[in-house]
Order: sequence, then structure tokens, then C-alpha cells
Amino acid sequence: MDNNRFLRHSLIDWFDIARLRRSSVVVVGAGAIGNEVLKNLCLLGVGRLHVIDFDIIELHNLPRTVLFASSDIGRPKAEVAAEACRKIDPECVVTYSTTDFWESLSMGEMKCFDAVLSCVDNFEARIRLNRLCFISQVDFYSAAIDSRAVSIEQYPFGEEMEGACYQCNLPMSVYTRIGERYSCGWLRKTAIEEKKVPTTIITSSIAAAQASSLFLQRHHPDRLVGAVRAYTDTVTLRSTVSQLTRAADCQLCSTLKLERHIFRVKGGAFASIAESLAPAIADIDFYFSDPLILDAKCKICGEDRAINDRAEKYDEALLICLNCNVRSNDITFADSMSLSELARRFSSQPVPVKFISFEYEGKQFFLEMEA
Amino acid sequence: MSEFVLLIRTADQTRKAEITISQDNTCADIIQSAVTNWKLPKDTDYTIVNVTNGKSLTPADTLVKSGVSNNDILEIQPVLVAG
Repeated sequence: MDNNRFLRHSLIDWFDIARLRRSSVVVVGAGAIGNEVLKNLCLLGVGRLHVIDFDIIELHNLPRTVLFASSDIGRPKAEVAAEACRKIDPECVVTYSTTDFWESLSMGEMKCFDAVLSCVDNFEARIRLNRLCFISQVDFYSAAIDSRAVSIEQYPFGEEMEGACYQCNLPMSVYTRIGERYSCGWLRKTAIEEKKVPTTIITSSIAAAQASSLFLQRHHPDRLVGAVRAYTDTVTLRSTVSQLTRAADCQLCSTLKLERHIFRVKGGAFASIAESLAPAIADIDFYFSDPLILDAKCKICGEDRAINDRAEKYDEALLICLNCNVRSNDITFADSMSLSELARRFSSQPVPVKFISFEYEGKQFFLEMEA
Repeated sequence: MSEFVLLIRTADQTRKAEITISQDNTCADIIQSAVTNWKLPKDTDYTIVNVTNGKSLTPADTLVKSGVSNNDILEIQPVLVAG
């Protein structure tokens, strides 16, 4: 390491350059906040960064993205952001993924990182990231903005498992709004217009500065402890810092055990693992991370089409019977299954979910499906 | 039925009101009332922070269960989601 690079930082008594150089962060979302967060973490001297974003750069992104230029339009955000980070600090190890984090980020790999910073732009992605971080016990920071305000939340899952999670303080209206995008349970509606929230570099840069500072200061004696939210109005510059209370009825953390084990299962190996465990877990329910569609059966002609795939891949068109050409299909969904049913349906193919969870002898097990 | 006198305000502090409310009301009740009476945007989600004790209110719990006390100041904050 070139010691002169961080000469000024070394004059700050609490600034531990060596520790920062050893640290590693996953940044999910390389949009307005993600650009600023990546720039800050690189300039601060974080040793390893992994950038995830499946989106491509468009002209309207440029007024909020310091790492992108007009010549980058049409290229993947994650790839361009990673290149820019390497230019800022050639000694920082930067990797990237241009797929959805739900597909590419394994809970096993996450445990190798010190923190995950959520810079995504929708509730479903934030809820999923919260879930992965909570299960794998990795510190989670959520940064969000609109055109005027900034909200930064810290969840130190790596050190504290009794505190609140992101979902503890989400109002029911969020789940209602998410539910409005689906029909018949989990089929995506085809004609839903996404709400576009306008933002500026002012809110995104303040959000990124606060989120980066929380990560930087996580060993500082004066740091904010536990699950907290800082809400800042960038017009009046008023800030409110609040401790986030754990909800007894939280959809995530009230259902998870303190002792949990994560295993990766390759390809179709689940059936053989399940078979070897069969006597011990024959009566246990296995819960899917992603709801499945088992089949679509026409109420008129009776045609029964086996699906056995993730519900998120399908929309309302599945309700239409291909023979009758009307909305006459009954869809069978499943978010859990017995071992015998699993073995019957998925003996020759991988279970198409991110992970399967089950409880056994007071412990919680997560079997992460590897493609 | 026991009641609290509370000061409710929006995060930008453009709207404030002193209210008398049953201890058994929930955070969701206050948000619903504020959205209606103050004509706050209906396509936004809201949460409440007790500024007096520095703690968030969990959505489904009653005020008394959330540790709210008489004369506390509650701030209604939009739940931000853009990145």
C-alpha cells in the first residue's frame, strides 16, 4: 500500500486505515446513491468492494451519477461503476455482478463481507436484502431518498441479533402496495405502472455520506449503537435520529431462531440429501424462499399443466387456458411442502428457489440452492 | 378510557397539531388521520418516531405499548424507498 495516499487520514486519531483496508463491502444498486457510496468507500480506502446492479446506464441517470459519463450510456451500471472505482483506487479489489442480487448473491458468500449497503429503489428488493443479511448475520445499511429527504438505517446483524430488522418498522401499507402488483396471490399483474420518485444529487450525496460514515465509524467509541434511523430534511437541514424498535409480530425476525445454519446444495442434490435425512425429518414442513406455482388446471377443458417453477416468472397470462383461450385456469401455489412431496416433484430437477428452510431440534436450517 | 395529549408533526414541520387520543389507538390510526386531515400524499407510506424518547413506534402496537407518554412529540416520517 502506498502510505502517502492516506497521509491526511492518518492524522485523524480514530481513523484506522489498516482496518479499513482489510474491510469488504457489498453495494447493491449502482444508481444515484450507489455511485456516491462507491466513490466514498473507494476514497476512504475500503479494501474490497462488490457492486451488484442488473440495470443499464441511461441518459437521465447522468445528472446524479459521478462515476458515469455520456459515453457509458447503454453499458451495465455495475461494470462501469467497478471500472471507475478501480481508477479512483487501483489497490481496491473491485468485483461486480450484472444480475439480480437474489440470483447472484449467496448467503455463504455474504458472510465473507463486513457489510451490505442497500442502494436499491424498491421495497421488495430492500425486504429481500434485509432477509439475506438477517439470516447470514451480516451488517446491513439501508439508504433511501426522495427529492427532499434522506433516510439512513443501520442494522448491525453481525453483532446483535436481538435488535430490530428493516421489516420491523415497515407499515402495513407497504405490504398492501406490494400486494397490489400481484393477482391470485403471486402472479404479477401485467399493467402496473411503477411510481417514479424524483431525486437529485443533493439527497443522494447526503445519503451516501451518512451511510458511508456509519460504516466508517462502526468501531468508533461515539458511534450510534443498535438499529437506528437518521432522517434528514435537506431543505431545513433538520435531522431526527431514532432507535428502531423490534416488532413482536415482525414478518421476518419474529419467525427466525437465534441458532441458524446455512448449507449450499448443488443442483439436484436436495433430493438425495432429503432422502438421507428422511427418517429424522419426515414430518417437517420445508419453507420456500420463493413461492412456487405447481400447476395450472383449466376449469372448462380439464387440461392440467405442470409448472413447478417460481411464481415470480409468471404473470396473469397464466390464467388463460391455451385450449379454451379464456381465463379459466386454476393455479396451485405452494410456499411450503412436506419431504415426500418435495421428493416426488423434484426428484429429477433442482428445487427452483433461492433457499429452503426448516426447523429441527430448535435450530433453523437454510439450504441454499446452487445452480 | 385513558387518553394522551400529544403533539403530532410532519417531518418537515410544516404541519403540527396537539391532539387528545386514546392510549389504545395505534400508530396506523394516527397516520391515517394525518393523511386525511393534512391531505398528505396518499401514494406514500409513513412511519412514526417519538421525538421525545428517540424511539420508533412499531406500526401495529398501541400507543401505550409503544412506550408513548403524555405530552410526547410524535413525528410522522415518509418511508423513503428511492435509491
